[in-house]
Amino acid sequence: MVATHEDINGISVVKTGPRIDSANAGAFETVLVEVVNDATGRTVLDLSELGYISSAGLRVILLAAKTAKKAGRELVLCHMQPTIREIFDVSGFARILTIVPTRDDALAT
Amino acid sequence: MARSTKRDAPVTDRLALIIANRVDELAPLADRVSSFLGSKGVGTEDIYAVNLVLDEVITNIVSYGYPDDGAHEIAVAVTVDDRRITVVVRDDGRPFDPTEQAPAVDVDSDLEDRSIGGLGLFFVRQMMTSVAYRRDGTTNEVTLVRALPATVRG
Repeated sequence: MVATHEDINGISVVKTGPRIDSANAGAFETVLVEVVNDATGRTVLDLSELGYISSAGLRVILLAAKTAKKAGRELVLCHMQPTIREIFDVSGFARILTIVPTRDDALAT
Repeated sequence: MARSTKRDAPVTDRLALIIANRVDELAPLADRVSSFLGSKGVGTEDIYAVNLVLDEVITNIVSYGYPDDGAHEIAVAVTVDDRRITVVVRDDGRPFDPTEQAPAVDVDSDLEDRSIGGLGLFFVRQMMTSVAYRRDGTTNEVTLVRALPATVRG
């Protein structure tokens, strides 16, 4: 499964599967952008299972972050594994996205 | 599905595969490449880099290489020694030189200004020590090399 979605106390939480590449980035975009559009508050993206992401997946996350920001809402990423963090650092995405260590941090107000 | 072009010999220094021009080949390819490189003592960061670069190069071939949308084969070869990992990707699509397509990627842009495009080839350039392209008749051939730290033994 590319991603699952649940609501926790009015906060939308999207949790990815282990891999996002060009084969499933379209499906990931469908899930994430719809959640961001329908959210009343922040959207949390839980990356604890994510072991691989390519530029196709990063593009979806960037699009979702821009969409959220335009609506005056937040997209918060959590539980990023070190190899994934490296990808976000190299691409410069770590600087422009909100990344926190745990889901609790992401849910805290 | 990815398959060897020959029976795997017990201690092979070269992984050679043919895959179809479909992005659902990427995950099985990554499994084969990870197993091969892991058995050679290559670390997880280097394995990730090679798989990412293969992904980006092959995704471009699949996306742009075949106006006819037909079934084609892409050849992937991976070799490793104590100095480097060498990856060669060959396809018979239309001429496409990834070293030439170099849209500028501004890693210092703010969220609003950051553009969506150009990331795939950016990663290829960042992750590889060298990228070379040649056109051989009807074939594109991309050779990607990643130098290894001195502590890895082939």
